[in-house]
This record gives sequence, C-alpha cells and structure tokens, in this order.
Amino acid sequence: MLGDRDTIAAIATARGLGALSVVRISGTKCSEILRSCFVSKSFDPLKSHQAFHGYWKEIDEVLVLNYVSGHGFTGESAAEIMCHGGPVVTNMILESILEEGARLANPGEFSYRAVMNGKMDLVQAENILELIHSRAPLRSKQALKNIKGYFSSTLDEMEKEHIYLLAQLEASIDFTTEDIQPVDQQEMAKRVEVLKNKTASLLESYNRSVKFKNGMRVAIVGKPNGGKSSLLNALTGTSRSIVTPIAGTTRDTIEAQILVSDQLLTLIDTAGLRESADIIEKQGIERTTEEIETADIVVYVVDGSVESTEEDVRSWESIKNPHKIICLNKKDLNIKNVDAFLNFPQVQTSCVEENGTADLMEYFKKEVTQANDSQSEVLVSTLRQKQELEISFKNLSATLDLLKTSESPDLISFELKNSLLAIHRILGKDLDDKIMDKVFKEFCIGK
Amino acid sequence: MENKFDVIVIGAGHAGCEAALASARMGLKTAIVTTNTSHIAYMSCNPAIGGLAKGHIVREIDSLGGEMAANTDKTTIQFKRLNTRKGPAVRASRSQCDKDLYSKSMTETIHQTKNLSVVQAEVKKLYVEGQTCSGVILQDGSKIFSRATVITTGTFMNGIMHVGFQKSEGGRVGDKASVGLSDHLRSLGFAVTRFKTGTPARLHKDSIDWSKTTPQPGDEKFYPFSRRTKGLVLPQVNCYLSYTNEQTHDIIRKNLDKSPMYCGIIEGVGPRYCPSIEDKVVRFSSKDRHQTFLEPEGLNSDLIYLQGMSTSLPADVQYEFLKTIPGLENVNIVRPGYAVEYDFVHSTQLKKTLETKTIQGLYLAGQVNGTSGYEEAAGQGFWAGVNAALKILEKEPMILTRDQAYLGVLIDDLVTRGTEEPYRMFTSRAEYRLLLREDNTDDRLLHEGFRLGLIEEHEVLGHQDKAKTIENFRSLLRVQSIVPNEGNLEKLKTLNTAPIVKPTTLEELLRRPELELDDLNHFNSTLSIESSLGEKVSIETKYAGYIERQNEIVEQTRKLEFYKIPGDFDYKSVAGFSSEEKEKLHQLRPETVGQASRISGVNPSAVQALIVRLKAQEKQRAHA
Repeated sequence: MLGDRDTIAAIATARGLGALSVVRISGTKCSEILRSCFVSKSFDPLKSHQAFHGYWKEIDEVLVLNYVSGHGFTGESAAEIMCHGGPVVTNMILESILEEGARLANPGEFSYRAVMNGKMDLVQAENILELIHSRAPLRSKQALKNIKGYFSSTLDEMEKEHIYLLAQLEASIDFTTEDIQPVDQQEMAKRVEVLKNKTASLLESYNRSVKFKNGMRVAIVGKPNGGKSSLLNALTGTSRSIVTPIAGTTRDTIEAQILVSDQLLTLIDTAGLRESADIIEKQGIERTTEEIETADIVVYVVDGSVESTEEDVRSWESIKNPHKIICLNKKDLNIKNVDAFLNFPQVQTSCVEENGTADLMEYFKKEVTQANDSQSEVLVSTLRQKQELEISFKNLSATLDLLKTSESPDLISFELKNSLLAIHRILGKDLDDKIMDKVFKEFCIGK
Repeated sequence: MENKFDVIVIGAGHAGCEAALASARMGLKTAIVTTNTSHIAYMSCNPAIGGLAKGHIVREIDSLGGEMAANTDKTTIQFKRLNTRKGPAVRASRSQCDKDLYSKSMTETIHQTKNLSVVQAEVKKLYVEGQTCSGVILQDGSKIFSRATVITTGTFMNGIMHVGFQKSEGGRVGDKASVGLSDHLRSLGFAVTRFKTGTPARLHKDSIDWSKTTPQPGDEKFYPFSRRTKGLVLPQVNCYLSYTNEQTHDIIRKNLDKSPMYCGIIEGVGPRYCPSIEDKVVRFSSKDRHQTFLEPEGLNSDLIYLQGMSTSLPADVQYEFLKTIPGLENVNIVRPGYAVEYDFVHSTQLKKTLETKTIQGLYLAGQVNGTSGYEEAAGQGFWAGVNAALKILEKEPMILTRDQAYLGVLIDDLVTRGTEEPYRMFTSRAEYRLLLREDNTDDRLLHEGFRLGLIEEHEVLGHQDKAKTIENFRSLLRVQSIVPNEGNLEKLKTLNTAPIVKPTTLEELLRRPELELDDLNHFNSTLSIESSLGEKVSIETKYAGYIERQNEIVEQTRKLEFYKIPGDFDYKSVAGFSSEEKEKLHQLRPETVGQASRISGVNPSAVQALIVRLKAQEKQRAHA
C-alpha cells in the first residue's frame, strides 16, 4: 500500500529485574503481529483501550492492552504487552515481535509519531520527557498538566489572537478599496499589550520551571564555624529523602538536595561571611553575596551558644533577600544571644538532637507553599520554548512601538508575523492560510 | 495554412498573448490559436488592470520583457495609486482601461510581431505521441505540429453561464465554450474539476442619474506600469460611487430561491474574495449597505461596469434590486450579470516551468490552472511561453523564487500547494513582501529579462546608471551632517520633528518617519535628484533596517530552498512520515526541501526527517 508506515517495537520499562515489564508495538503490522503471537480466547482486535489476558507464544503469560488505529497514543494501531519482568522473558517477547517484521524503535520514536499524527504537539511531547525525568512530585504534576494540553491551549489562544490581529492588518493592506473597517490601531495596541504581558509572564514561569527542575535554592550563610556545614548535614540526614549530595561544584560550595512538600530544595553551604583580605576567601565571599541575592531562601546561621556582636546584626541586616531567616544553632548548648535578634524571624536548631532541625523544616514548608501559591504556574519548561518566547516578546514589543507611532501596517504585520512564527515553532505548527481565512470570515470583501 | 510551429498557444486571452509574444520574441516560430480573433486580450470582467499585488505582477512582467504593462499604459483612462499612505511594499498601481482599445492595441502588437501567426480555429484535442505532446488536432480533424504547446483556455473549457435558472454554454457572453478539450485532458490522466466565477450587470450610461452618485476621479500623478512608457495617451475619466440599501437587500433575500448558487445548481467552488451580492447580503447581514463603483468600460463605450455587484439572479430580479440603488432608478441593463462554471486543471500536476509532469512539451497557464485575474493569467502565460521557448532552445529554465518576485510566489503556490478556490494574488501571500515592491522590479528582474533576450542592453545600462545615481546620492546623505546650532534647531522645529543633540547625518534625518527627502533641502539646498529616483532613495533609506532583516530571513530559508531532493527519492522508506505525508510527497515530488515544506499537510517535523534522510544519503554517497 502506498504510504505504508513501518512498525516499531521496544521495551518500555527499565531494564533489569522487576515484577512486570512492558513491550510496546506501534504501526500497521501491529494487529498482524498480535494475531500470530498472542494466544487468547477473549482477544478482539477491534476493541480499543482494552486489556486481554492470554499467552505470548510459548514465552510468557501476558496482558495485552490493545489500541485501534487512530485511538492509541501514537495515532496508529498499537499495543502494550505486559509480561513478567526479567530481561530474558522481555527480550524474547521483543525478539518475537521483530521476527514478525517490526523494527526496533529509535529513542523517542513513539512520541515522535504521536506528534506527527497530531495526537499531541511538540510542547506536549516535551512535557512527557519532563515527566519522565522529573525528580520532584510538584514538577511532574505540572508536566502532566501540560501533557494534557494546558500550555498548548494557552499558546493556541495566543495564536488565535495573533491571527485575528494579522487579519485586521492584512485586510487594511490588501482590501484598501473595499468598504471595510478593520480594528483601529489604538485598539490593536491594547490587544498587543495584553499579548506582550502574557508572553512576559510565560517567560517568568520559565524561571519557576528551573526551580522545579533544579530545586529552590537555599543559601546557608553565616560566620565561619557557625555550624553551617553540620546544619546541612543534619538537614540532609534527618530528611528521609536525600536526593543527591553534590559536592565541589564549580562554585566551591557544597550543595545537597532534599524534598520538602513535594518540592526540591537545593541547600548551598556557602563560604563564611566576613571581611577578609585573603584573595581566595574574598572570591568565596563574592560568590556568597551572589548566592544570597539569587537564592529563594537565605538561612543566616549563628552560633546560639555565644553572644552575638553588633557586626553579626549588621551583616544580617545587610542581606537584601526578603526570604531570610535567622537560625540560632547549637540550641542544645543553651541559647545565649536571644536579645540581639529578638525582633527578627528566627528558629532554633540543633545538629546533634533528634529532630533538632524540625522548626527550620517547618519554615521551609511554609516558604515552599507560599512560593507555589504566589507565582504563576509553570508552563514554559524547556530552553527551546523559552528562546522562542523571547523572540516572540521582542517582536511584540516592536509591534507595539510601531502601533504607537502609527506606522504602516506592512511593517507592523512583519513584526507580528515573526512573533506568530515563533509560537508556531514552539508548537511545531504551520502557518498555512489561517490569516486569509480569517480575513474572509471577518470582512465583507468583493470587487 | 502552415502546419508546423515551434510553439502553439491555445487561447488568445491575457495568458495566451503573453505566452505567444514571449516565445515569438525569443525567436521561435509561434502560432496562437483562438476561436475568435476579434476578441484577443479581451477583458471579460472588470475594466481594470493592477491593484494590490496585481499591480506588482504587471510591473514584474514589464521588467522581464512582457507586454501587459505597456498595453495597459497605452489604454489607461483612469490611474490610481493605492495605499499611498502605507509602506512602500504595499503601494500598488491600478489602471482603468478602455476595454476595446486594450484589445485592439494588443491585437496590433501581436500582428506586428515577427515569428507570430494567428490561427482562427478550435482545438479539440492534443496530438500526443507516447508521453510527448507534438501538436494539436483541430475541429476539422486537421493537425498542427509543434515542439511545445501551451494551453491558455481560461474559463472556456466546458463553460456554462447561469442567469437565474437559464443556462447556456460559453466561457463569456458572445463566445462559445470549448467542449471536448477538458475531457481529452481527463483521458490523458489529468485531474480536472470545476470552479465558478461571476460578473455583474453592464448598464447603459445614459440611463444613469449621475447626480445621485459620488464622482471618483483618478490621481493627478501617473506612474506608468512600463519603463518604456513616456506618459498618458488617452483622456482621463471619472468613476462613480453609489451604495445599496436595506430595500436592495430585501429584494435579494426574497429572491434567493432563484439564485442558482443557492439552489445547488452551481457546483463549482467560487472565490471567497469575490462573492456575489447575494453572498454579501446573506453572509454579512448586519451590514446595512454595500458600496458599488460605476466604472466606464471605455471612452466611446456606452457600457458601465457595476463593480461589487456580481450576481447570477434572473434578469428581472437584477432590474428590481438595481433600481433601488441611488442613480439607478431608471437603469437600463444592457447585459445582465451572470455566473460561469468552468473546468480547471489541478495545478499541482505541473512542474515549476508550468510544463505538465506527465506529458512533455505540454504547458498550462492562466485561469485554466484555477487562478483568477488578468494579471495572474498574464504572468503565468509569460512564464510558460518563456519556459517553453527556453526548453526548445536548450537553455536553463526561468524559475523565479519567492523572494525574487510575486510571479515566483504565484507559480510556487500553484505547483506545490494547488488551490481550492480560484486563486488570486494578495500581498499577504508573499512572505518576503517588504522585498517585493513595485519600485524595485527592475532591480529584481531586469537582468533575467536581458538573459531571455526580451530586454535590450541599453535598458539594462540605463537601469545601472540610475542605480549608480541613487547609490551616489545615498552616500552623500551618509556623509553630510548637520550640527545642533540655533538655525538648524529652528528648522527642525518648523518641520515638526524632534531636535538633535549631536551632529546628525542627513541619512539619519531621512530615517525619521515624519521627514521626506524634500525636507532635507532646508539643510542643504544643493541636494537634487530626479523625483522618481528620489522616491527610491527615500524608501531604501527609511526601510533599510527592515529590508536587511527580511534579507537575513531569506538567507536562512534559502539553504532549505535549494536543498535538492533527488527525483528518485523514496519517500516510502522514510520512517518519519505519516501516511498522508508520504502520499502527498510521493505524488507531488517536490524538487527542493523548501518546496516540500510548503506542501499543505506536510508537518515541520516531517521536513526535519526529510533533511536527516537526505544528509544520511549524501554521507553514504560520499563514502561509496
């Protein structure tokens, strides 16, 4: 048959021993393969999204999930074979499928086919990757939302608005002798402004996505020997979900990640805060200052067992980040300097007591919840999406400037169309004749 | 009668004339075969040439050495430049022409052209041997032989005209349809389907009360379409504007059941940009009036063309609703409006030269390819005539690209995308619109016209001189600057533009949207340049930034554009295509990746897959 597509197969679950494994097939030969390999009394190839029990040749007892063409995850006829885990059985099943004329799928080919068959757009496919690679539940929630089309529908709306505006511009160019009234430039400027703001907030959400991906950054600062390192150890030790302790990053700081309320936190043990003449230490302090500025949370650690000096208070006050807290450490050794920091938010910790960091964890939870509530949702999750949105933003700004100086519609259209093209690139879509279609729908035109 | 030619052109409309003239002027023995030699280059519908994007095409034809522009200039009775207050890329010229004189003038040119014969006859069939067309078979069974044949039959193939429920055969009132040719094309394996178009009533000028209409004079300044034109020849006339009203609309609504469009009698797809008045009233019911221009068809003609009022309602209904329009209370309809249904050939069956993919030596051009408009037809005719000649002369074909000309956009759209309604050119179809201006067609195309032998050397030299003058003038503006002294600041103030704070070049000043070239004379009275060149200086200076950006985009896409796909490329073997994509690519066989990317239904991801595959093949070949 002309345009026949070949059939692909692959093991979908992780290699190694497990209770269950899944092998996937997609393509026109799928039902043929099922007919010859799958022995089942109940199997009905016309029933989509149904599981059938049976035997895969003489290899294993399996459950087969059947997808009829047009309904499956790839848009083609497809199946998922659930067999008993273990590399031998799984490989044998895969080989039997390949023998029937399927070929081994390339990495990502199932998703690729889904995109090509219009089952999802590029953004959705990218979010599947996000979901797979997610290390924090909050991040996977967001990815799932986008797989369901949350971000795509936002972009679709923006696309529609672009097309509406472009139709107005094109009508004013190509049908200048017709008796039509496109939207005036002032009104257009308003609408472009809205688009521009939307794009800006999407771009902001990328930063948020980086936080989801790499964790919110918690800078642990304070004088040397204030117990910063032991606090970091205590936090990672008491937190039962240590994710990765990363030592010796390029910054010469120690980083470790923990999970708090489904959100990754990256704890950063910084160089001590103090005036120093030592050049290497100075560089360390410069980095600390940078960490303080960019961190989501700053924990200022002081040794609670000794009296604080005025310098301590000054350097606390010099921290410009609003999300900061004083941590009076070593509470097991009698807290002595309650007075100095009396009027500031604080917690007391102990790195040797059981649950000695509970109050600080409580504070983290509060911050995490607040951050998740106060900021817009994560929509933009990849650098590619962000870069295209930046192009769109730049073009929208230029569009707005031109509208404000009442420039010619062909120039305005040039900028606006470039913005639209960027959005189309994000979604992996074509421009086609959408703008002219809109012109004819909106305006009564006829020579 | 002679029966051996290099090139035969079937049809003597706007496409046919350009095809025949180009081929004959390129030295090939050419015959133009038409059923009615007194209707050569006849304007079947409105009496105007040009308009948005269409005016661009006419100028392009001129820069390449075609005839339409000069013929238009000679017969112009009203000239207008549209969008004068908008950017230079979307300014366009439109001429209203004396229909009779237009036809007469073109007929004369054709008769005076060496190597060109006019044959009055009807072509019934093509003479096809194997997969090659070697001539045509006439109604009487006689054959004329050729090495290339160009079909430009317009709306005449199986044309049926509708006025109410009355049907008659014909491609236009007064001319009979061409029956048999499209069936013959079908039998040769071509996909042929039906389109519809329409034309409004023609009114007698003495039956109109002009005092109730608004005169619409032409422009004072005439910008000829052709570089060869010195000035206007004919006296200029007014058009007139009037409007329909609710009463008009009521009558139309009440009689919709008598419109063949609304009763399903007409099956052909009509153009959305040129709806009948019935369509307008139904689809835009909230509009309480529609404009109509009353346009004289010629200096000595009694006929008035009623622009915007195309209809297929019965004649009595046309009378009834027209009489409600101010000025038309006592109107006398000389010829009622009508709809025409006709056969057209799917243009995706053509190569970029407009030669058919399956039959060698057979070319199709004009409305027969599913386009509308005189200009689109003429452009294709020229393109096909030139390429037929080049092939016989064993020279490189003329393929203009999308960033080079509207003609490039037109042909590329037709052969790669095809069309689902009569195709009309719009400026918005050109993605590189800012580069394709009326003012720079010579820059873009004159050298190609020269290569074809249709533009003379002195014209090219003349153009180069102009370009040099412009460049010199621009460098003058670049070096001359003014300082923020009292006198200059005062002058800037009177010109309503912002003051300067540091020495500023005249070029920088000219970039300001509010300043024009003449304004610079306040600062340097010795500046002087011919006004037509001055306009170009101004455009090139003001829009330099945009032009540069557009050029960058062109460069990026050019890489794709010229990424050739081997003719025997096996689309079926590429894993990354959907079934639909494989089928389309297999059928259309795009010549470059750029072309493949514009086929509707071919996703960007598939284009990526295609590039990956092509690169892999290249590597294999390099290793082999």
